[in-house]
Amino acid sequence: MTCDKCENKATVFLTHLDGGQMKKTCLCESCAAKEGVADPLKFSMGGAMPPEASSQTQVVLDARRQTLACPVCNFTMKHLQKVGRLGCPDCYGTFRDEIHQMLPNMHRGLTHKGRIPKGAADREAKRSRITQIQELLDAAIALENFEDAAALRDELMQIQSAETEQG
Amino acid sequence: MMRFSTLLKHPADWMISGDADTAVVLTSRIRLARNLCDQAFPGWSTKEKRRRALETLLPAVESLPPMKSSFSRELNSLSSVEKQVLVERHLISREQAARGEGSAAVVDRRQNFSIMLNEEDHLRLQAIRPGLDLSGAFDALAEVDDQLEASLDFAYDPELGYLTACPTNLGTGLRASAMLHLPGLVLSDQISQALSGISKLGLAVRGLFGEGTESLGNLFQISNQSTLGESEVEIVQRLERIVAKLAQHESNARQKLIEEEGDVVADKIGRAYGALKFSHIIDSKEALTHISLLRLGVDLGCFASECKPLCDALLMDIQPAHLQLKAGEKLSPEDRDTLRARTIRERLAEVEEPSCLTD
Repeated sequence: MTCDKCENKATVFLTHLDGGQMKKTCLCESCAAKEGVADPLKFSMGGAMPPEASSQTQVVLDARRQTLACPVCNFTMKHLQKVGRLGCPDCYGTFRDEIHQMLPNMHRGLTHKGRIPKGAADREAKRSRITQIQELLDAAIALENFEDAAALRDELMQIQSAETEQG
Repeated sequence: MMRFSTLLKHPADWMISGDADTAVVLTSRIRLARNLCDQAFPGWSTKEKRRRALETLLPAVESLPPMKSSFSRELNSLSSVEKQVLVERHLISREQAARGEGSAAVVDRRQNFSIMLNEEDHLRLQAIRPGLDLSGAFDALAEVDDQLEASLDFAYDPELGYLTACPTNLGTGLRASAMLHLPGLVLSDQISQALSGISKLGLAVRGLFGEGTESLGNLFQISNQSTLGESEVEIVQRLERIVAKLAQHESNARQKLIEEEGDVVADKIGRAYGALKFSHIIDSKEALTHISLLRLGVDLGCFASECKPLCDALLMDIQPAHLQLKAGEKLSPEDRDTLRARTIRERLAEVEEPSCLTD
């Protein structure tokens, strides 16, 4: 790909929003330097903790999803497009497709690695244990191994009743 | 409850620095973003709901062991100067200073931890350490995170990690940053190259003071941008490695400057000393430029080592809100320049003239 300003090979690719339209600019190193995009110091500074890269947040909209709103907090696609932020944790379910489009420009990976809150870890462990028991139970029934099946069913009921008690 | 004046009477732990090597890396900071799973993010919430979220958050934060008898205040109970002082101290963000009802800040006595409530996220936890110690800051903050998690249900998704108001913080919600003093690389014209190398690694570089393009006082902040796809430890260790390399680069540049241009450096440091010691009117830009050179002078052996904490405290104390807090009233920019010069003269009264580098 060649530079938009001259014939050199483009190495700097700039994506920006211009009046709501996404524009792509390809520049070579020297034209990029002239435009001030290669020098990090030319970008805005300030703020105690580095501000979030909200200006880089670009929401590519699918026309069919324009009217989408979060059932929990009523946050809409329009707001997401305007502020690049979400309304509540459930919005991540509602706008999952849009968020997925944004991630590659923001992060080095797409899947979380690292700390897991203990509450969530317990819920996750319980979920996978239930799935596991369910599979064993199905297998035991298929083999007509009713003794094991009864034990597994009891364990399943115990886990599920503990869950309802906790509310 | 701790008063505002008590919080500011003592310098923060990181300003005193103790045994930490702060010649190049002044501070290491870690921030974690956390949200309650069943509440709208503060920016999309109503005043009443923010207040209700605060009622859940505040007791959990205030009962943290490191936050015992801490400074804890709702933002709308602080004057604009007080809020600005907290911003200048890096204890709250500019964004939070602009928020009022339902937003609060909790800071421990030694200013090692600060927690913002109902900023952009429900919780922004921050730990600061002197020198290059991102891992130490992270370990301390991870403990705080564990303690909070025992009483709060955080929004979390197995694939996207901790859910945050802005998708740029998804995953770990972790922002690690180091504040570096790089006069050697600036004076030897190597800074643009060094910093563009850093930004190619996907890290953000920012000046510490001033708006727009200027970096005053040769102070730079380097931080991670990506928060998803790498674990906290990977992010922290990677940044730590890169910052250590850059710091080594700076030390080499300083050494080379003395060897090759000793008289030029001695001249700059001597003039900076003269200007700070004898001016009666000085704006922050000029003051920061000279303080930076004085600080460089300490590292090069021109001044006694006691001069460095003086420089670091001045970086905070000459800023507009700090000056106005000291004066006890709003000051015009002209009056601030006069008070700034007086403050600097007083602080440097005992600092003797630099011993010459070229002798």
